[in-house]
Amino acid sequence: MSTKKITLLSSDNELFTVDEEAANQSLTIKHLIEDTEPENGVPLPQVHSKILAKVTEYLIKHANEPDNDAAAKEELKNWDDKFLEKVNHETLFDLILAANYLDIKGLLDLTCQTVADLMNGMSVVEVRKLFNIVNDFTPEDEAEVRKRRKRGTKTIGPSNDQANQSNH
Amino acid sequence: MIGEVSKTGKLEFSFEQLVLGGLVGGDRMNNMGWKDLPMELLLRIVSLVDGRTVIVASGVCTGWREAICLGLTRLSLSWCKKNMNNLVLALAPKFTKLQVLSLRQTIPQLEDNAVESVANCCSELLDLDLSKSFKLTDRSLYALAHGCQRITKLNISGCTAFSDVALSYLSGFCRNLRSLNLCGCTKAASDRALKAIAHNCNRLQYLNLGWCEFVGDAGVISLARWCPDIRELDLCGCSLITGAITRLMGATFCDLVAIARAPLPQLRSQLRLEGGASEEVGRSQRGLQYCDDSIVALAEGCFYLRSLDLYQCHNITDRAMYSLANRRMTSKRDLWKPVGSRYDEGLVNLNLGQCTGLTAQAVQAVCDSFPSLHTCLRQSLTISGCLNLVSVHCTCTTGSPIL
Repeated sequence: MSTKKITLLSSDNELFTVDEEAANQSLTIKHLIEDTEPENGVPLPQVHSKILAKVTEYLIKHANEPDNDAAAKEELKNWDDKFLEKVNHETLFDLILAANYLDIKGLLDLTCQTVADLMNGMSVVEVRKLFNIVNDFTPEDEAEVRKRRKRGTKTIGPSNDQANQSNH
Repeated sequence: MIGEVSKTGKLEFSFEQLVLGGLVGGDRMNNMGWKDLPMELLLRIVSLVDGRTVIVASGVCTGWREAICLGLTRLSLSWCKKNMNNLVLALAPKFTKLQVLSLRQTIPQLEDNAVESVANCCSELLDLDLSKSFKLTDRSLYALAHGCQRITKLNISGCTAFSDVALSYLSGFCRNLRSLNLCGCTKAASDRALKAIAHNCNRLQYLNLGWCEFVGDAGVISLARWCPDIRELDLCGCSLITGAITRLMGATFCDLVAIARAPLPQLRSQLRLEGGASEEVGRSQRGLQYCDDSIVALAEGCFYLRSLDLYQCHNITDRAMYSLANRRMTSKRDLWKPVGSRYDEGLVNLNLGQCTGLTAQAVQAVCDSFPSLHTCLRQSLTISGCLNLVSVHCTCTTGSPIL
């Protein structure tokens, strides 16, 4: 039995070939194939080759999900952990958007869980630093937050948190 | 001035995003970053972090704050050890779309003003956990009655200060209740309150009345009459309920799935005899005869019973066991009942701990009738403290393994 190959075309016109079974994990691609049967590859103008390379790597690995084999499941889980280990936060962000756009549930769950694990236990300042987010609260907002903090939620974030914020 | 520039920047950016649909990766707009994470995805991530980090995330930037305030539906503040009250006061007006809110406490902190704030702001609340809020008074229940009328699941276990008047009042407004946990609410869970709840909340499915020692037969009769959907009823430690009432329940709650710690009078005599009140002794002796009858009634009435906890019912005899064993046979006659449902298994849990009046032969008959009862590693038939019963074994251990 020969498996049908699907070609995917990234936003910068790079081609990626995967088995149909692997590609079908993405509901977006599956529907695109069903609807249009494109000859020169499925166009994915929203995904850059850099990200699509990662996505196809995931799709190929997860093409045949083990049902009951505990050892195989464990191996796949370890692979998932490694898969995102070397990824920087910018790529992780792009991967989440891509998984969402391509509608790959497994990848979306994995990436969102990774971000959640990163954030757990962090302070506001640490999260901003981690994701390179600029504090865009107005001084009035800040004052309100500080007031709330004084009133009660001192437990949130380390003690230098307030000092850092007033430096902005 | 600077503000204006950034505003136009944002406008152009959203225009590009609209037209191009937002490129992912590589040559995308350089100012697209984590702060622009679509709301749906941010909420997905936030649903995976712990309760404390949700609050942190809402303070990262204005975009995240707006998205989380607008979309957050589940929040747990159970991690708060000191300042839950202030935190609820600050957050309730912001998180107005909350549907599930857990304010379970280990150290009582919550006060009425916080619950009032929740009731005023979060009208979409469906599930509220206030367990162990010792400081709350009836004011909280009145506020919830007016503010959160869509609520379907309420846990006020351990809120000892609530009165039955306030609970009855609440039941008149929150008529969608499906699940109500009143464990330890001795003052609130009176027969009068149960009558009101039964009349108002007909769709109740789960009710925990554990250690509500003033609940008597009258309250349970109302439940049996008005709430046909009850599936789980916990009457652990309700010492006023007599065996007769169990008989009535057996006839009425056909759908009852679990009776935890069936309200047998023996438990009461165990507890109260120590006190030595002679009147109590007289009552409990009268109660003894109900014991087996109760089980027989349960066996005949509750075809779907899956879990039965008879811990410390010393006076149960073999007659009760045989009626359970036979139930399996008789219920097989009901061919027109839906097949293939999860109820087919019959009993899957049976606790006979300290039931010293039973013989191995009778319990073995029960065990043989219900293949889901196990004495092996998957222990679902508990016989702790019964030396007579050590020879009882499930099919797994006597050969022909079903594993």
